[in-house]
Amino acid sequence: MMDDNRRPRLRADDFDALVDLIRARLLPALVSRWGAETGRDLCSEVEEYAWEHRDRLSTMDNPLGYLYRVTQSRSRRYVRWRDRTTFPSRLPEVVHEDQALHDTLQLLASLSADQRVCVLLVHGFGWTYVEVAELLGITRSAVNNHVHRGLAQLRREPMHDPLLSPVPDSRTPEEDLR
Amino acid sequence: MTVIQHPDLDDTLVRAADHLMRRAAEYHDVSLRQAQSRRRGHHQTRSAGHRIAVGSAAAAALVGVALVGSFIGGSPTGQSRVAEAAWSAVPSAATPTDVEMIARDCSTIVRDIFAPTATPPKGAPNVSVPGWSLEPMVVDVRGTTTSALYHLQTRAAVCMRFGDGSVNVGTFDMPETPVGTGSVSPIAIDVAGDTVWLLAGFVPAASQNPDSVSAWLATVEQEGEESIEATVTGDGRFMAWTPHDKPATVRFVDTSTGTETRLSTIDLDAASVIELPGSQTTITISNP
Repeated sequence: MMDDNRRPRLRADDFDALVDLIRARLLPALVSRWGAETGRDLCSEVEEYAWEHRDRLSTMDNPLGYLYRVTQSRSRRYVRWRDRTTFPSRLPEVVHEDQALHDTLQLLASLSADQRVCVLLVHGFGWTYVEVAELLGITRSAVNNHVHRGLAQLRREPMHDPLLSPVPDSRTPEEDLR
Repeated sequence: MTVIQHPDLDDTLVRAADHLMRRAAEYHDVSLRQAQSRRRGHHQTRSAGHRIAVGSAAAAALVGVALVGSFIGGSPTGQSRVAEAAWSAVPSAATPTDVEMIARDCSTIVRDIFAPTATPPKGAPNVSVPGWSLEPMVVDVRGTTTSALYHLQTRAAVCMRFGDGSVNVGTFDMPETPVGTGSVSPIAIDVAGDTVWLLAGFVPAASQNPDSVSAWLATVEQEGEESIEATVTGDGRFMAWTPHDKPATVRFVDTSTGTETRLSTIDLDAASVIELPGSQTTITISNP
């Protein structure tokens, strides 16, 4: 670990690089946890936070992991409507375009937040377990558990949720005409 | 229901990840334009990269609704609240699925709420909550929120189902019958610190000619905000809700004759909060 006295402060261009890093590496975790809109809002908030605390961040070994924890406290105002998750559960524009995608997003919404983040980062974004563990501040085995339990739930029989796309009609067009 | 085949799961997870990032990027692009127009002149000393981020969070919540096809008015400061993201000024037509789902989610809770209302005096035979009172009188769909109004004698209950499927129910006093000039029962609804205001009542014609109510339009006017169109039912009830705390005026227009009626302006900010004995599913409601 680098000695604090020798650690350089973030310069303006360094900060821009940090913002790029936030958008490339933190945003995927945020949208996985809170959905696209809230995740994007939290990303903007955390960029502002990073600017205000750039000196402190420059001394950290894992600034993204720290900022991820910041977003968890900042998320409270987005979930203050009692016990509300903000991961989308109704995606009307998707259901017509891609039913399987719609149903997958619906099923992802039923996972715990940690399971959803781990499953999406590993299997959706292609991160390694170690990368996910570092960002979330948990052990690799915890990531492993979240991924496997999340995938097991996704592979289990589909939820009986009327929000999910309807059962395909097995009748033939000829039968409809009768 | 689409059964996701196991070999396809990885593929759909990749598409889910792409979809979420694409949505986030689209959302951010639009919010940037809002942020720049609202917050021009602020944060000039910061880096270009940072300027992009500043202010977009507040404006972005506004744009969230724009993305689903409705515009909502934002305050000049760009301040916005979570409630606004789940709202639109113009309601959508409730589909049979909307009605079925909110009835399924709310009726049990409403039955519990109405039970004391339906309880007979001591010594009288037990009376159950009438089945008709567990059918929503009005179903209002705006933004990602579906609201249903139930009414039993002088008690009403509003059930709000949010975009994530969670449900909150609260109860309040509401006149049993319509009056000639129309009536409104304004209610402040506080859900874990965020307040919205529900305006429900009867259009003017409801007391005279129930057959003519379909021609009535009910709107809620708040200075500086987009006019809010209420959902009006065939029996003359109307319902709307607003996330804005400015004084509100309910305006009725008979579209067949052009006749316009306005009720007295309501000071929504003067609402006092009444704590209800509640469970996780009961929200706090107050009458101004």
